[in-house]
Amino acid sequence: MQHQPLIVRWSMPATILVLLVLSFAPLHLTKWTNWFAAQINVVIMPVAHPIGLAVDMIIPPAGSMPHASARERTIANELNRVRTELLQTRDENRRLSELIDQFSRGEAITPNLKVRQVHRPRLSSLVGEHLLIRTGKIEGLVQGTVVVVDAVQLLGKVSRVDGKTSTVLPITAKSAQPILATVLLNESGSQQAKCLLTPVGDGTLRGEVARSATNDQWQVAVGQEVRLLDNQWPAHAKMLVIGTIERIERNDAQPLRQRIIVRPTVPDLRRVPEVILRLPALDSDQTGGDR
Amino acid sequence: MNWFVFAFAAWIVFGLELALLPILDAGSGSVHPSMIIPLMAFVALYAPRKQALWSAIILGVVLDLVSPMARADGGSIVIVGPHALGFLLGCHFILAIRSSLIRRNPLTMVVISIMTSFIASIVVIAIFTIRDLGTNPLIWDASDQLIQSALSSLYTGISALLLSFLFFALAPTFGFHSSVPTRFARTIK
Repeated sequence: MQHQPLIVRWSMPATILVLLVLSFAPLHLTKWTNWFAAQINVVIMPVAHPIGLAVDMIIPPAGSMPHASARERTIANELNRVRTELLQTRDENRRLSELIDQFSRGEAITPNLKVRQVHRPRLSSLVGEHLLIRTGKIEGLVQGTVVVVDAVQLLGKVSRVDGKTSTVLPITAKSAQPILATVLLNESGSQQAKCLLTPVGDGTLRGEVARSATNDQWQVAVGQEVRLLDNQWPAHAKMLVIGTIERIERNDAQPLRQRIIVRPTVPDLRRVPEVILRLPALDSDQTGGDR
Repeated sequence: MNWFVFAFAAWIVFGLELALLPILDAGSGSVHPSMIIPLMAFVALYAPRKQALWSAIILGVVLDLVSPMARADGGSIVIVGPHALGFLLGCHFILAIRSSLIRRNPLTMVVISIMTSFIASIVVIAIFTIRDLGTNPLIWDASDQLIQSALSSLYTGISALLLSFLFFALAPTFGFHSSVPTRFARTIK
């Protein structure tokens, strides 16, 4: 029987094992493979590019204005550039106006509690159920800082802060804690019913509402607003909007307790483009640029 | 097997794959024929077992390196392994049945390319789906991928038919020296 060196005999199983490990390895451990990908591209491009050119000669790629003259193309390009700038300026104006409005509304809900509102964009990456916010260790930002969107819509709490980013756990995340809330039974909010809401994991929260024993004329209904009323949260977060009642389910086990499904006013809290962090107010000389 | 010829053929085939992908996609970028699978199938049909397996791994690793995955944050990442393991299993499948095949028939290439492509796709989808069970910032939808892979596998049959004529013509240059016993024909040297 022909004996092979050990390295030859075990090279195939070892390669398969390495490939399996690489296939399931966390992404941050496999970033070095990008270097090999770049080298492979360097090798393949010299043949792919000429073939691509040949294909383009045989089947020309369709342009945006195939029959236009050079002058017409120049004018069209200039028109597009100006239109783009105009739309960008309009969008920026609209965004700033909304931001000023949100800051004003956010301050108005807690006039007696000094809260600094810091507006930050959400990084597009989703880390599991968490949001990644582009703000690191700034003054007052700690674990548990309240995060809102659209001034009054509660988004969640900061769960981790590091040098450049912070992680926010939305209230709708499956791993988020249940929250005590109150249902506004009428427009003025004079009639309320308490409930304990638990995140379902599909972007909604579910909870049971105790029917009021003293007042039967006010009933829980679809569309009613649900707001935060939980001592576990900072005082300035009280009465922030959790959402509206999306549907009411019958609870056969406890007929006196209706089960409500609440959905935040923002359909998907994980995909908001920007958030507002509600931080404790600093002294007037420390406030700086952020409000 | 002459590894230099194999490397040159792989180089050309990868060039074809990348250059023709936008032209040959069937209405969407996700359903397209593979040029690499027919090469892998051709080598697996003729080469000695070990060389066939290594060539499948090499082609798979290179395909992994030129197929970055989209991340949820808008970036992309290269994950080495899924295609390599898929090709390895596909190659095993061909090695298991090759003694029963009529090798110099282009239809053989068509059928085994379709089947191998589907087997490799299932492995790739399984790996990414298992990854997706944990915290995975990749954009991944297994059911969509399965449909696209099935259609791509069928589409690969067309590329396999065209490439089979080229590969059969070039077969002597590959220098295959296997003596695999065949069931229905003379032993191929």
